[in-house]
Amino acid sequence: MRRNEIRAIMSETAVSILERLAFVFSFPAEEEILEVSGQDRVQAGVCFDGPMRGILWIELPQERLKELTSNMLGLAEGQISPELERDGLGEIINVICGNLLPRLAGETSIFTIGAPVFAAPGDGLPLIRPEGESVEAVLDLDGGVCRLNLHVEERILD
Amino acid sequence: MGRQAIERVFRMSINVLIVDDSNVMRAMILKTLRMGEIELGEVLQAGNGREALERMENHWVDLVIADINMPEMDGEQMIDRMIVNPSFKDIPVLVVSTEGSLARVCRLRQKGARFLHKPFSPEELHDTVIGMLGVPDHAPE
Repeated sequence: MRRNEIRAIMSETAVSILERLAFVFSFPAEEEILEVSGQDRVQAGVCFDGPMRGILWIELPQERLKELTSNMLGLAEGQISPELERDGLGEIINVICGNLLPRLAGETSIFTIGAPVFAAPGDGLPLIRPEGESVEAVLDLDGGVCRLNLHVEERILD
Repeated sequence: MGRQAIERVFRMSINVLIVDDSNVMRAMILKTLRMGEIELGEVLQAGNGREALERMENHWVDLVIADINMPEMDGEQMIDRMIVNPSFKDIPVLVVSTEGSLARVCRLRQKGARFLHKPFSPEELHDTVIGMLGVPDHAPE
C-alpha cells in the first residue's frame, strides 16, 4: 500500500473510534505538524503480532485525554483519576488497533494485540525497532493535536 | 420489542460477570447495562479468564460478558474451560472485543458465544443481551 493510503485508513479509523467510543469529533489535520512536544502530552501503544508485527502508538494532550475518559465513563472530569485516564488511553489505542489491522491486512487475518504500554512525555516512542516502516497520521482533536504512529517490522509500503 | 414484554421477562434480576483487563471498559459496559431495561442483580468483575472462572466457582452467574485479549487467560481459553465444565457450560457468553478476524469470530460462535464488536452503542449491547436471555424479538404488547 502507499503511505497516503495507509495514513488515510489510520485517520478514518481513529476518527470513527474517537467519535463512537468517546463522543469526540476529530478531523485529519490539513497540514502536517512537524513538532508537538511538552509535558502536557500523554502516549500509549499496543504491540500486535500476526500477518504483520509491530506497534501502534497514540499521543495526545493530557487535557483532551481527561475529556475523552470523562465521556467514555459518563463521569465529570473532576472524578477522573490519573489511573482512569491511563486506562482510558489504553482502551482507546486498543480499540483503534483492533479496528485498524483488519483494514490493512484483510478481514480473515488473525492478530494478537498485547496489553497497552505507556511512555512518559519526551521519551519518544519506545519499542520502535530500527528495521521496518512507520506511517504517521495526525488528527485535529478539537484544537489539540493527536498523533498516531504505526510501526510495522516488515515492509508494507509500495 | 415492547416495553411491557421486557418488563415481564426482566422482573427477576440477572447476575452478570464482566471480564475485561481494562477498568474503563468494564465500567463502560456496566454503565451501559444500567442505562437499559435490564434489572441487574449481582454484578461481578474480573480482569482475565482465570479470575472469571474463580468468580463463577463462588457465585451464581446468569451472563458472562468478556473480552478476548487479556493477560494470563484470554477470553477464548476461558470459554474452552467453561464448555467442558458441567456447571458453566450453559452460561451464555457475550464476547465484546475489538477482534476483527472473521475466522476467529466464527470460531467463537461455533463455541456458542455471541459476539459484539468494540466500539458498541448502548442499544447494540442492550439488544444483544436481551436477545441472549430469551426475550422474543416480537413479543406481544
